[in-house]
Amino acid sequence: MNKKAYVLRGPLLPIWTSAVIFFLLAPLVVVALVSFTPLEHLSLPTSNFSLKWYRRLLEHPEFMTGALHSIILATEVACTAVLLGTLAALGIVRYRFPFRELVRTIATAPLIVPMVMTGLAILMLFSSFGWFDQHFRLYAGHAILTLPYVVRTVSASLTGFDMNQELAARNLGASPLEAFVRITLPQIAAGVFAGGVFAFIVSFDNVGLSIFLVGAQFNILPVELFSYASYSNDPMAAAVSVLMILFSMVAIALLEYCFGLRRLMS
Amino acid sequence: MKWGWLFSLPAMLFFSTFFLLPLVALGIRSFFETTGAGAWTFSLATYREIFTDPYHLGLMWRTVKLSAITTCVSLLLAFPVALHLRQMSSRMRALVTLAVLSPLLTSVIVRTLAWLVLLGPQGTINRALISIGWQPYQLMYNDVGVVIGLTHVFLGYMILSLMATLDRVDDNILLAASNLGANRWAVLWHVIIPLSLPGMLTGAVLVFTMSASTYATPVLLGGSKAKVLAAEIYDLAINYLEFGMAAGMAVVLLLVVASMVFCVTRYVEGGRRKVIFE
Amino acid sequence: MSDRQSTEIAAPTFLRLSGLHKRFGEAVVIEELSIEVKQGEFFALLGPSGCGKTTTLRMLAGFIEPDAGSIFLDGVSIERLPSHRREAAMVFQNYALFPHMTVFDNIAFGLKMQKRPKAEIIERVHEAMRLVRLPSYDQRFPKELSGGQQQRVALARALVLRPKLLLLDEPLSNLDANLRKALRDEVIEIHRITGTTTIFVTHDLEEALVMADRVAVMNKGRVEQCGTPQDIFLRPATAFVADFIGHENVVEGELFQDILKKDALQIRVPINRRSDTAALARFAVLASNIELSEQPLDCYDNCFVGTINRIRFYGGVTRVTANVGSCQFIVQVGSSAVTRRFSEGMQVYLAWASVDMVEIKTDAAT
Repeated sequence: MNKKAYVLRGPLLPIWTSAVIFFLLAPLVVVALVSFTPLEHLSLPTSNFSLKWYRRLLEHPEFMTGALHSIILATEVACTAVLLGTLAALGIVRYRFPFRELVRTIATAPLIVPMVMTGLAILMLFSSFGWFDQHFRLYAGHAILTLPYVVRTVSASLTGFDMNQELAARNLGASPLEAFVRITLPQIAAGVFAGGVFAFIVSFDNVGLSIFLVGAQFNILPVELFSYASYSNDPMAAAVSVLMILFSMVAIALLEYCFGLRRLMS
Repeated sequence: MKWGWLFSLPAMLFFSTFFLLPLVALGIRSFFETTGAGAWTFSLATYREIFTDPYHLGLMWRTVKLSAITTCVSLLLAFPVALHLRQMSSRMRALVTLAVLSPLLTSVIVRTLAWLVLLGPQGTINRALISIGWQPYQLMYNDVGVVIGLTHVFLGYMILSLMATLDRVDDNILLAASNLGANRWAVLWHVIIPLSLPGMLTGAVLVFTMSASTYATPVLLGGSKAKVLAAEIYDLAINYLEFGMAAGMAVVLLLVVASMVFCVTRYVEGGRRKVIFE
Repeated sequence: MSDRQSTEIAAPTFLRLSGLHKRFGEAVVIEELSIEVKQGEFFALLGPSGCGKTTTLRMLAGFIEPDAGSIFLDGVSIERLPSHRREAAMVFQNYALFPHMTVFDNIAFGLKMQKRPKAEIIERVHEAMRLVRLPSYDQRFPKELSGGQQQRVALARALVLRPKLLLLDEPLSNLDANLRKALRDEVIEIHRITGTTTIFVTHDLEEALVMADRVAVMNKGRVEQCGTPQDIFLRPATAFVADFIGHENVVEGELFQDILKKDALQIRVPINRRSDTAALARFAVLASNIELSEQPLDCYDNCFVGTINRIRFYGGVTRVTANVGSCQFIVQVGSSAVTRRFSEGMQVYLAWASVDMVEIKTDAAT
């Protein structure tokens, strides 16, 4: 959509937009720069760029294990969210049934219910039953948190999809299942995949819910980073951040390349 | 018609077990007190304390206040950007959208960390101020730092939300207003803002909710001097093992957030508006 | 532009477009556009989609700046003025009413921008509503109105400002056929009452012919012909205009003196169109100007024998297709006479006057 509203010309808007973008991106650039400082405290590298903080990372195995756990967890969560969420979206969008709105509300409720509340609730329930498996309870919490995103993207794909195509396929001889698999599924695949990627990213980045559910046996990267930043003031956290940003950038590039980012976010 | 149930079933079972059940249990727990020897009594003591103790009231007030300020600042910053995006060429638009989106896809902890670096007493900003001879400012461990951090974290969501709304304003209406004698500002005031008000409210509610519920940013940037509900809930549960109180505070937080969402949703989707807009 | 039979108001040029140029990227949309409009004229821009008529209108409204050329309105150069400072009010194709304002506020908007006193606004808005025959719908919202009513609000909104120039962008094309005819008459009547100089864009030939004092037929950003509806229809200046009008019964043959020869046919053309050298030419005759008869008709200087091919009933009129030599002619007559006398396969005489023939220029002759 290329709109030209001849009404709003002038330098004001571009200046403002540039300032806002600067505000959004500059801090991240600062973090990246700080990670290369040769000094021992939070500072910008003035002359020498050093990789020492990245090297020191290797002496902190908790970040490595954290990263590994985060990736494993995010993958499990994304798969679950995609499976359950796609099915739910199919049910909600295409069929009318009693309590349909209730189902929709429940499926998207985690977006409104405070993360800390969900985390606390899961912790309390699991503890009272004597389940202390940290990996599993994190998995459950993250799956709850990410499912709404999948439901949203798949629903958007489904509502944009012309049902008549499937009916046409059936009219031409395909069974309902065949029609769905050959006609509908490929066209909503974008929404499903996008949902999966969002689920992965949200799980990978999450702090608010995870802090309640992590433990010594299973910790995840953002929480490790949070703990580290809470008690120490050195640039190592910046180095970890840079690596996390790079990881996100790869994910973004993948999304943009395959599907075009803006279409997915709407 | 049964297919609807069938497809939703797996998700609903999962949610019942790991979402609804825990929440209900938590809600119930907030109404009970342990009286030594493992016995439980129904009591409203938790809520009584929450609503009478000035410390807790102060927490609630600060949480709402900081979220409201963050929402307003975000709205102010985001609106012109969304307006500008509306009339950009598709290439510029894709670029700017990417620039706005990218921070949202990095972890909240990474973004907050950036402000730790910038806002601290020894942080980048203060060092710069000192080097030109100015006084350093207290930008962290107070309300200011938290608002800055929260705004930075959630601004992208506001921009995206406003973008969706402003895109739906028909260009011809703006041209018509201009043709009838309205200059830039008149068009903005009389046409653009009224038409995008529902969308603005939706975006505002989104940011408010997220700001009120978030943990990491206020904790890192506010410390113990600017504590919010989410931080207190964590403290109570993990550090003091006061699960009853923690549960109560969580319920209060939910009420604050949910009532906001409910009111705005009712207003935005309410009767008369449906007649005027699509 | 050759002989023009003008029945227009004798007034000086009120709106002058000179040498307008506009390109969007690689495509040239408007090229060397020059038009003169008199005060109080109802002027139509007619052409197929993509010819530049809407772009021209938007340039007049101030939404698009021309790359070159000038626009003078009532002696003032306006091509660099922003839209809100011109006095050229536009009615959009999709009305562009403000959905969040009542009918009253919509119409009052321009007056509010001019900061008129409240009493004046109320009076003028009601006056405009009476003019467009809008019943007292003051407090309704656009969404609650029908298409025709929304159209009237859009008109009132523009007219209430008493603009120097009224711009109508295909205002009737979104309405269904019956409503279109009714509203067409009302627009003509409103123009008669207000006398506002009006530029009206349409792709519908009939609309332009019925409503306009003068028409400019546009093609690919240029004006092919500018003249009264009669000029355009009966004396098309270029092949494009002739094709756009869609004349039927076009005969192409060799013209010498005042006879057009096509195979065995020798058709008499108007004296003032004769050629002293043999040349290729095309002439057409309106289906309604041909008379059908069982006997030859000597009063017409063109009379030929033919066979009826097909008879089609269209309600009020009947159209008869007849073969005359190697040509096929369509004749349009009032229904009752034909159905009684003629039948398919019958031999008939087709007759018409040479002065009723229309010359259709070919590309080379333009």
